Parts: sequence; C-alpha cells; structure tokens
Amino acid sequence: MSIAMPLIQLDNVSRWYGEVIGVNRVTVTLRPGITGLVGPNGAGKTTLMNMITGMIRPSQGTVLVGGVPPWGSLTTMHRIGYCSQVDSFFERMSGREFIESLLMLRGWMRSHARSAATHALEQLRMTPNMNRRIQSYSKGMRQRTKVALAIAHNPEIVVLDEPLDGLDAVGRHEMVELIRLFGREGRNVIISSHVLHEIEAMTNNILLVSGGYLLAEGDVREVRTSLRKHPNRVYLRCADPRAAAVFFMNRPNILSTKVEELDHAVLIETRDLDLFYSDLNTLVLDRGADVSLVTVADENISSIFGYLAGGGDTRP
Amino acid sequence: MSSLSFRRLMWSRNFWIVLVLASLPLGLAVMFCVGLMATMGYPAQLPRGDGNFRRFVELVFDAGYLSLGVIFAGVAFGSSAIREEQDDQTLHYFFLQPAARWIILLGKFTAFLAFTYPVFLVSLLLVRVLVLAPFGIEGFREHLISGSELMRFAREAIALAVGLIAYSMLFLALSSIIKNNVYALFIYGWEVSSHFLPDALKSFSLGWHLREIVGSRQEAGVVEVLAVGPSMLQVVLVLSLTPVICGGVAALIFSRRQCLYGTN
Repeated sequence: MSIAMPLIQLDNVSRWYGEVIGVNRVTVTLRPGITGLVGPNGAGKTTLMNMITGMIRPSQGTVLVGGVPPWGSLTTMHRIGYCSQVDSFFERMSGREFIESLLMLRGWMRSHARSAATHALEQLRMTPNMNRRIQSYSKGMRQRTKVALAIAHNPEIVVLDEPLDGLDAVGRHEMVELIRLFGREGRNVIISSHVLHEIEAMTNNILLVSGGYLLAEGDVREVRTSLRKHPNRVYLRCADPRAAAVFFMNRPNILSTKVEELDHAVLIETRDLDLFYSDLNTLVLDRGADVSLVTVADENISSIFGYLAGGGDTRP
Repeated sequence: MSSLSFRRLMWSRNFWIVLVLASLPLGLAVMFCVGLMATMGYPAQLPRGDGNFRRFVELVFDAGYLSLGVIFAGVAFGSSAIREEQDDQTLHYFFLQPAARWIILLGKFTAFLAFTYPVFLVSLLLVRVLVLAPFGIEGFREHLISGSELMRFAREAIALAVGLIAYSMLFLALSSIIKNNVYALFIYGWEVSSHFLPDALKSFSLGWHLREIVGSRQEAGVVEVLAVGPSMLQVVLVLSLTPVICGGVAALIFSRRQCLYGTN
C-alpha cells in the first residue's frame, strides 16, 4: 500500500479527570508502522488512545492526526479504526449485523457494508459464527468481532486497545500475524497490551507509559542503550556458578555478582556488555567453564520498565 | 442512523414503556365497554345527544394521552437517548462514526417517533372502537366515521404527534443538563396542575397549547386573570419553538460530550 500515512503528533499533551492526572505532558510523534504502548493499569494508555481517536479532548496541549485535531473531525473518523478495551456490543445483533450497521452509519450502501463486514470477520476467523447473536459469543469471539469492526472500513490508522485480551494461544498468534500484516502495509498501528513478549513479537518500536508520564520511546534496544546509567544484568547458568562469580568480580566493568545456588546460576551486573562478552569468552575458552545459558536479563520490556518505573524483577 | 436506532429500540426498555403507556387508555376503554355491555346489554341504546359520549372520549384522550402518554413517552426518550448508550458503554461506536453529533440525536429521535406515534395512534383508534362497540353498527356510523368525528380524530392525531415531538425534545434537553430524572415529576406535576391555574400561568404549559389544537376547553381556573385561551399564533409559536430550541440545546451539549468510560 503506497499511501502517505498520516503522522500522529502529541505536543505537550495532558489530560486530567478532576484531580487525577491521566496523561502528563506527553510529547511524541507516531510514524507509520506498529507502535507498542506499554504500561501497567492506570498508566494512561487508554487515555492516550482515546485522545488520538477523538473520543476525548486533551486538557492541555495538542493532538494532531494528519495535521488535524481528531476531536470533532469527521475526516479523521474516516481514517481511524479503534478497538476499545470495553467489552460492549449491541448484544441482540449478530456479529455481521453489528459491523454492517455501523458501516452503514458511515454512509455505506448495505451491500457494500455487508461484504466489508463479512470480509473483516473472515480475516478474524469468525466466519462460522458471524450470523450468531453476539450475546452467545465467547470472550475470544467478542474480541475478534471488535477488531473486525476496527478494520472493516480499511482505515489508515488502527488503534487497538488490548486486542489480545481473551484470545487463546492460537488466536493470539493469528492476531499478532494480522497486526504485523497491517504494519507491513504501512498503516499506522498503535497497540497496547500487557502481554509484553507479544508486543515485542510485533514491534521493536515502543512507548513506555507509567503514571501518565511517557518514560521512554523508540526501539527496545535503543531505549536500553540510552539508559547508560543503568547497568546491564546478565543471567549466566553454568556448572560452577561460584567460580564464575569469583572470576567476574575481578573484572573492572563488573558491578556486582549474585549466586543463585538452586538454579546453578549467577546474576551479573555489568557496566559494559561488550567487555562482559569478551570476559565470557575468556571464562569459557581459557578456563574451560561449562556454561549452558547466557541471557541479557533486561533487554526485554519488563526489565526496562522495571528500571524506569523503579523496581521489578529482571530475571528471565 | 434511524434504522440502527430503530433496531436498538425494539424489545428495549423504552419499547415496553411505550406499549404500557399506549395500553393504559385502552384499559379504561375496555372497562367502559365491558361495564356498559354488562349493564345495558348489546347493542346498548345510544345516549340522547352525544355530549356524554364525546365528553368521555375527550377525557380519555386528555387523561390518557395528553396528560400521561406523551409526557412519559417524552421522558422515556429524553432520559435514555444518550444515557442508555453511555450506560451500555456503546456510545463510542457512534462517536467513531464520521457523522455530526446532531445527526446521531436526530436518528434516535426519528426512530423513537417512528415507533411511538403509530403505537399511540392505533391505541387512540382502538379506544374509540372499544367505546363505541357496545352501541353496535349504529354507534360506529354516528360517532366514528361521521365528518365531525373524523375531524376530531385528525386533530387528536396532530396533537399527539406535536406533543410527542415537543415533550421528547424538552426532556432530551433537560436530561442533557440534569442527571437526575426527578425533574420529570416536576414537569408532570406542573402540566397536570395547570388545569387549575390562571391562563397567564397556563401559557407555560405545553399541554394547554396542545389542547387548543384538539379544541377541548378546560374548566375555568381558580383565579381568572385572562378568560381567553391561547391564540392559534401562540399555539404554533410555542409548539414549534419548543422542540427547535430544546433540540438545539441538546445537540449543542451533545456535540461537546466526551466518551469518558473505559479509562481507568
């Protein structure tokens, strides 16, 4: 798809609900591709998504979608598909009728709306169930129907709030593949999830949000690299963890070691990962250490988030 | 929007409220019919002059439709048009559509009217049939299909439509401003008690203007300030401006509404 996808720009955006701050001075530009929005409950993810989709206005700052504030913009509504985390439907309708009727609100002819609804539900593997009433659907089916609604009108911007919620393992895999397809098509996809490794499976581009603040943005590895003041933690499993700990403690770039006897492992804190790997080579080749596992414990999102938010276990 | 709203209306709470409201005058008419046939047999003799019969029909229309049906149908619509979607957390589906907010309101209103008005109209016709049933064919010929009765029925039908529109818009505007529906009781109380108020205060009653369409005169107020009813110009102005102004207020408030559920 070679379409000039709109940028989503948030400039010093804040949103408060009475005395509660939902989002606080967030400035970020979201480019085409998949952006993962990561954070705990109450971090401000849904608030950000609601502002981007024009559901709510920012209390301060500006939100622009393709250069236009989404609030009250009918043009923007044509370009956005939103899967809210709220589990609500017109229960007495079938999945197909539900999507079809909302597409007709966009001014589509019934036949066109019906075929688009059918196609969207087919993409979400809902064909066998699309003529059943939504009130008889399982949680996973309801989730698929929501996502189908979000994509049925072929939007340029797809905002998915917890789209993997309620899906089984196969469903999650299929949803991840579908989202990655959207990203390859050049759409602007914003997705939030608590299933962190699945966010990583879809994208390296993340926004870390907590307490309404944007803690970090960008590639997971770049975010990690930028945190130079935070040491890397490496999890090393070997036959003699104590000997390994003694070896590494004598190295200048090593800050600390911690032996975990039960796991036959040692957790090493290092200031310089490259030097550590060089030392590891020495340990294995020159000292003959029997090493079975080496993992950089904090190149995943949860570890980084733990650093930034203060706390959190970084062991794999 | 109207067809979606119509589907949403079917089997909903408002659906049953409208059916109940339309059934209440029918219940009165059934009691009249059964009672008359039980005392006078079938067919009953037509009463001398048609004053009593006409008065009964006027009372049923006034009490069952103008003083009750259209008011509470208006409350049902006004208080739930948006609140129902808010409570069901389906409001965002409408907000995500590339349609002006007032179109959403208009679609809901037309769907409500498309269902409620025919139901009330059928109820009104059935009331007449039931009231006349004890008198047999002669009763129908004299009091149902005669010119004057048809004219009266047409005026009642117009008053019903105008009343539904006016009260629906009034309560839609009020529910946009006031969360608690207790205001509906005040307005109902006002409309009912306007029977006993001077004409000057009656001017603030929609029901008083609606009755002018039908042509039924109320009893003189306790304190007579002005002894005349509203002019037709006043009736037209009040009954046309009320829905326009109230609808405009509701549309303006709704256009600024944000979808706040779902954020935790």
